[in-house]
Amino acid sequence: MASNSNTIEQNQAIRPLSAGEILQKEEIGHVAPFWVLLVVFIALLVLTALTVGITIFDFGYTMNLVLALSIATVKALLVVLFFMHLAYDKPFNILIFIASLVFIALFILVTLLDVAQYQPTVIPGYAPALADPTQ
Amino acid sequence: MSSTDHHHSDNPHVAHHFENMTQQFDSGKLGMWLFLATELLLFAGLFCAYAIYRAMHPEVFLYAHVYLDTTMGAINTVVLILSSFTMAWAVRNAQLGQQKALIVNLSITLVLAFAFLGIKAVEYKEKIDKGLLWGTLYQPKQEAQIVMPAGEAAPEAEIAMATAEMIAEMAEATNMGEEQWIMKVAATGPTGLSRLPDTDRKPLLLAQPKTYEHPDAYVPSFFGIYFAMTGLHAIHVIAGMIVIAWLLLKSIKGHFGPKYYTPVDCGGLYWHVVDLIWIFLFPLLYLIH
Repeated sequence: MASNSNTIEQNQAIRPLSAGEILQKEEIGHVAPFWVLLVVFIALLVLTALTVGITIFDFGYTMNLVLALSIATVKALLVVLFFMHLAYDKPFNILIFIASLVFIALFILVTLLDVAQYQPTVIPGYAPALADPTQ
Repeated sequence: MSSTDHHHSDNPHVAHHFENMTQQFDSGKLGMWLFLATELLLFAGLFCAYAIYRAMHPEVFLYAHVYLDTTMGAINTVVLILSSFTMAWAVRNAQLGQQKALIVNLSITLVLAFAFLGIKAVEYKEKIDKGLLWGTLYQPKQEAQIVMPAGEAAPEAEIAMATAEMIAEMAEATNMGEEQWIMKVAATGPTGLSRLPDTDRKPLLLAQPKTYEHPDAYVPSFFGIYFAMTGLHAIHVIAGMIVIAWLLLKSIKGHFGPKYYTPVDCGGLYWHVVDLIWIFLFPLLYLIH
C-alpha cells in the first residue's frame, strides 16, 4: 500500500532532528530524552547490585522475600515507566497494564488463600510451613 | 475522485483504513499493550505455581536453590538490563531518524540476547551433567553434592563441591572427623534425595527439616518449576531475537524513521517485557534465603 520506493529518502534525516522538532512536525509519540534512558539504566544496575548484595544480611525469611520483591518491583516500575514510555503514554494503555497487574494479583493471592486454607488438613503434616502459625 | 475514495494522509506509511498516522500509531500501541498483558498473565500462571510450592515447602526452596549459580544469574540480569537500554535507545534512534545508530543499537541488543541464551545454556548443561532435572529425571550425581559443615547452615562462601577425596581432605585439614562434615539425613525429613542414599553418596541437608510422615521429597518439584519458568522465558527470548533480527533487516534497508517507527517501538515493548519477567525471576529463583 505504501510506496516503499520512497522510504529511504523520506526516512533519512538530513540531520538528526531534535525531540522538539519532531513534536512540532508530527505528534505521534514521545521521544525519550537520552539522559533519562541513561539514568534509568544506571539506576537499574545499582538496584541489581543492591538486590544481590543484600543477601549477605538476614532479616528473617519473610522479610528477605519482601525486600527482594520490593527491589524487583522498583526495577520493574523503572523499566515500565521509562523504557516502555508508559509515563508519557495514553492513559488507556496505562489502564491495560494496571488491569493485568490486578488480575495477576487476584490470581496468585486468591489461590494462595485457598491453598493455605485446606492444604495442612488434606494430608496431615504435608505443608509444614502453612500449618505452623508461628512461621 | 469517486465519492467512496478515502482521504489519504500525507504520510505514505498510513494504511488506508486509518485517518492519519497518529491514529495508526495509537492503534498499534494499544494492540501491543493488550498482547503484553496476555504475556504477563501467561507467566503469572507459573509464578502462581511457584508461590504455592514455596508457601507449602519453603525448606525445599531454601535447600535446592544453592544448586543454582547466583553469579551467572546476576550476569544474565545485567545482560538483559543492558539489552533493554540499547533497545530503548534504538527506539529513540528510529524516532529521530538516526539510521546508523539504530542499526548499531539493534545489533548490540541482538548480541546481548545471544549472550543471555549462551549463559543459560551453560547453566542448563551444568544441571544436566549433575543430573539435576525435573520429576523422575532428578537423579543427582556425586559431583552435584554440596558439602556443608555440620550444624548450622553455612554462608554461601563456604559451599564447596564434594567428592570423597575432598571430604577426606577437609576432614584431615581441620582435624575433624569426616562425619562432622556431612550432615546426617533426617530419618523422617521431607527434603533430601528422592531415594534413600547409596553407600558412596553423602547427602546433605541445609536446614533441619520439620518432621512429617509423608515420604515424598520435593526437590524434583523445585527443579521442575525452575526449568519451566526459565525455559518459557528462554523461548520468549528466542522469539524476541527473531523480532529484533527482522527489525534489524528492515532498518538496514532504511524502512524506519520519524514518519514510521511503530514496529521498532512495539518490538521494544516486547523486549522490555522479557526483561521485566527476568527481573522477577532472578530474585525469586536465585536469591532465596
